[in-house]
Amino acid sequence: MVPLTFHHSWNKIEARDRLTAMREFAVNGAKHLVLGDMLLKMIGGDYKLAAVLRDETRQAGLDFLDAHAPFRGFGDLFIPDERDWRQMIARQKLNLLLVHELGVDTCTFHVGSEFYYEYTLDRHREALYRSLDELLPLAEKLNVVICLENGLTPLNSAEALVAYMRKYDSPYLGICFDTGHANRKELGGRFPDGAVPESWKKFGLTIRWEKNIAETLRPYIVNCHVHDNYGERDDHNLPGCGNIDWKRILNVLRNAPRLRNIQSEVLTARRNIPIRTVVESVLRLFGELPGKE
Amino acid sequence: MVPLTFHYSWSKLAERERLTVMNEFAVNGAKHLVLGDNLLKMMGQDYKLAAVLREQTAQAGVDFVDAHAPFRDFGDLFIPDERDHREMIARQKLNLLLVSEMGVDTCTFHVGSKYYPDHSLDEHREALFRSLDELLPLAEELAITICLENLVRPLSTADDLISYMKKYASPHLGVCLDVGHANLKEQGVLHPDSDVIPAWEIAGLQVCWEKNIPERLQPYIVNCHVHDNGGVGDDHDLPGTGTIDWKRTVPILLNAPRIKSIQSEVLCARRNTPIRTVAENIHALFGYTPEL
Repeated sequence: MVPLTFHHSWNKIEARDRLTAMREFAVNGAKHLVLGDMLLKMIGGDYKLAAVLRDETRQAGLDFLDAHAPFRGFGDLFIPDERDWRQMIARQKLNLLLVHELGVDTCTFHVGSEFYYEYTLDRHREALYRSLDELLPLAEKLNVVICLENGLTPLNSAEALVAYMRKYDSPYLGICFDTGHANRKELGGRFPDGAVPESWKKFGLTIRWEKNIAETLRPYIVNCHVHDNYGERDDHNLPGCGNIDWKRILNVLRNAPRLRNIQSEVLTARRNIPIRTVVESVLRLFGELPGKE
Repeated sequence: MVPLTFHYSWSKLAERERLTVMNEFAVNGAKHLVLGDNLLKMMGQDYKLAAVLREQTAQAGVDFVDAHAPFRDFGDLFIPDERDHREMIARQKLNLLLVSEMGVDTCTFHVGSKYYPDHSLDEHREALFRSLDELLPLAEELAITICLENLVRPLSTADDLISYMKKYASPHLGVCLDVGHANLKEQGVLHPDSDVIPAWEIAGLQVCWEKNIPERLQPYIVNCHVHDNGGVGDDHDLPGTGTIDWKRTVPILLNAPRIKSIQSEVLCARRNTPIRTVAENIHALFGYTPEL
């Protein structure tokens, strides 16, 4: 089966409770955890945490598989301001090293969502290219695939991501297919007020709703974020607690040639969902998907 | 007047109390704070903290002058292991950028104190040189001086530091004179229980005791750590409560040709020393009369 890996809000629990939560995942059948953005931030500040996490995951019988780089302030790849861009690149290079250090070989990055409105959209795109020019050689050296995630802004549509894939045509660049974001981009037209990011309006653009996002991105999908919603908000619900057509998604993922892992991005803390419920739900949905496990 | 700057253990403080403590320094005449290793680590974790700190220091009427890079694990410049060295360099490059972002132009680094037993002392030294080769161009670009601190361990003696200064001969490389460490290295020979002895034994060496450390380092001193001890352990006490000869030390610091700032590294938290006591002590020691 394709390895299934689980996100958890580790920054919201005390260090002393971390191993217990890891064991909770393990006894319910999880084998892999996501090295998420908040964990990477924590490792960024606590120089010894990587060794602690290695020890704790080993004790729990788990490992880290798949990572998510920090995003927004000093995390977005498209930062056009020179000073901020430079700090972001230094931070993301460190994050790639930490990802590699923890044995992970896929890492999701956001193109960006915190726009600098004093700069044009083209300047944001150029900054994204500069970022990829800087980060891809390091990713290659570390054997980590940088996965760009689809979203709702003008620079992370399916169309935009496919253009980036074609421009770089690199085995170290792929796509993180976010099922929840895709659903919003496909169904958001029904909720025009709530679902349109302000960036479209601020750049004087009209949002282009998309169709068949999963199918369009399929050749480039390396990892994915699995969660559900009703098309209006980014709920990060359990699969089935929304209106995503999971049979269709399963079929796309089954035929994604570069797929390495499937990540649950259900936010347990947001709706007080037990770990057991998440693990069982995701295993039920994807447990039979053929892959390397 | 050489700026006087104050270290504080910000990491041990709840965030909501930070501005209060900054105000405490300000009402006691302090104008400058140290961007210490723990603050830099906190900024490594919290990507938005730099902006918060800028706002809080502005509110308190203080600023950051002088910085101290994280040390030991993934902080020591002499890390000989290739993977660990690479992570350390990435972390320290980020730290230099953050130091610059906060408007600070001096940053102290430790040559190192955590030895890798599978590597020789020469390999540690070579790794230090590789680190400086990597970091100095960035420091120059950011107009920051990297200051190597005298420690009580091999590779960080006064002789070692002078040899590094001569090798690089760069305006972006200088010395951070730690007067407490210098005292331990000068007086430890009198104390069989000196903390210096095990620090050398770990490296399989006998201690190389030293004399006249401040005098020999004076041409290269850019910043300094001011604190006191009894010559045995690294107490970080108030000046005057240990055995350091301050009449000898103060003029050396004030007359050092490259000196940019004088840093109190008295550890308030360790002995519950009030901020007012530290500020008054340091101001008096260096002849500064603050306007209160």
